[in-house]
Formats: sequence, structure tokens, C-alpha cells
Amino acid sequence: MRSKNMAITVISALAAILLWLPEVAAHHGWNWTEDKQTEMTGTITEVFIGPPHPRLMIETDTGPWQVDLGNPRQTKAAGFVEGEAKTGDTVLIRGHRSDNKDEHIIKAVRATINNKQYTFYPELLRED
Amino acid sequence: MLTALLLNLGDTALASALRQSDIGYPLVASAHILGLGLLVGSIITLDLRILSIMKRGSLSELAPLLSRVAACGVMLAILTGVLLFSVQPAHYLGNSAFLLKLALISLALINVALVHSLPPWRAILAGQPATLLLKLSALISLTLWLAAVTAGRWIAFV
Repeated sequence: MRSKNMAITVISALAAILLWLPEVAAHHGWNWTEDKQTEMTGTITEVFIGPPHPRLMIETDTGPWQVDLGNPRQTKAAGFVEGEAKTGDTVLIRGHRSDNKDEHIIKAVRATINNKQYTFYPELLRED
Repeated sequence: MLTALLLNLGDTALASALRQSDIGYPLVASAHILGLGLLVGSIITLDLRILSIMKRGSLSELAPLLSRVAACGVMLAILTGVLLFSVQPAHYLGNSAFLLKLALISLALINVALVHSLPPWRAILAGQPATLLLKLSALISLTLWLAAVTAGRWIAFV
């Protein structure tokens, strides 16, 4: 019985420590990104609209970047559906870049393609 | 050849429907987790019982029951896994965590096939204690399945 209580104590302690560990770079939420909103222009090399996460791959002056869009529901609500963009289109992304400089990922708040704006997070959009 | 076949999965009507549906993907993903729960829950229990870390219940009764539940779980996980994969095959084939996960699952399934064809398995079904060889295979099973789950979760983090 004593060893059982001991085991439960050890497991609880480990669980508590795990809860305190800093969050790894899950691409949900915003705490893996920079606070400042930046703009980036690129040429689309891949469009993926679907679960689990819609994204664009773009080629820019600073190399290839992955653009995370909203979740499937938010992306659809922004009007960004199949056919809205294709490979070769120029895109202007407004969003937050990854905090990690080596990681070429930007989470888009808004994308502008062929003069049409798709705002994935209207409440987070900051105009300069 | 195999790669081409796998890539073609993305062009099926089912894959297209999953990409467009609002509820299809979350439902299939839920069923995938249910499959994992059945598989890992029963296999960990059986492995720990074979290793005598858990001592209750007779192996001759637990082994056939738990391995059958695990088989149902793994079939559900594979079926739903193929559907989830079909949404973007090229993306997953280029993901190192996904490839590692497939390798780990293959090894784990080979371990299952080996164990079930060896005399120690028939021995525990007949009520005899687990041999050292069977205990070793239980340890391998535990390691491989837990590693496969971890590699699977890592797909979203590479």
C-alpha cells in the first residue's frame, strides 16, 4: 500500500513539473509568433485548403515561407475557398512571423490576392 | 509505384469530400483516437500483465480478450488513418515523424505476428506462465506502440 501511495505521489509530481514546462511550438494560438504585425509579399507555390490546417507555401526575397491561414472554418468565413488563389499568383500577407528566426513560418491575419482581401482574424487586424 | 498509389489517394472522391466537409475530418479524427485508445489501452494492460507488473487475472483469459480488443483498435486506427492521410498524401510522405511512425507500426505488427506464431503464446493460452522470451516481446511491444503514438503526435510539430 505504501509503495502504491509513493507511486501516485511521484506521478503527480512529474505531471506538475510537465505543466510548468514552456509550450513547444504548436502552431495554434499566437504565443509562438512575434508580437508585431508584419507584411510580406511572395509568389504562391502551393495552396492547401482543408483540414487540419489550410496553408500557402510562398517564395519570397528571403526564400520559401509557409503561411498558416485560419482554421478550416475561419478560412472559409474569410471567403478563401478553392479557386480563389492558384500557384503563381502574387500574395501580400499581413500577419505575425514565428519568434524563431530560423523558422520561415508566418501566421496570416489577412491575405491580399489579385486586389481581393481575405481576413482570417478580423478582430486582430492592426492597420498602420 | 507505391508512392504513386499513395499520392493517388488524394485524388479520390472520398479525400475530396473530407477536404471540403466541415464535420468529416473531425469525426474521422475522433474515430482514429478511439482506435488508438482501444489499441494502446488493451496492449499496455496485456504487456504489463505478461511482465507481471500487473498481477491480477489469469493470462489464459486476459491474453485472447485483450489481444482481440487491440486488433479491433488497430483496424479502426488503420482504416481512419488512411482516410486522414488521403487529405494531403504528399504532405505526409514528406513528414519525417509520419514516416517514423509508419516504420514503428510496421515493427510492432511484425512483433505481433511473431509472438502469436511462437510456442510461448500457446503456452500462456494453455494456462502456463509467461516465458522470458514472451516477456521480452511484451517489453518490445510496449516500447514500439508508445513510440508510435509519440511519433504520430509529432507529425504536427516538424
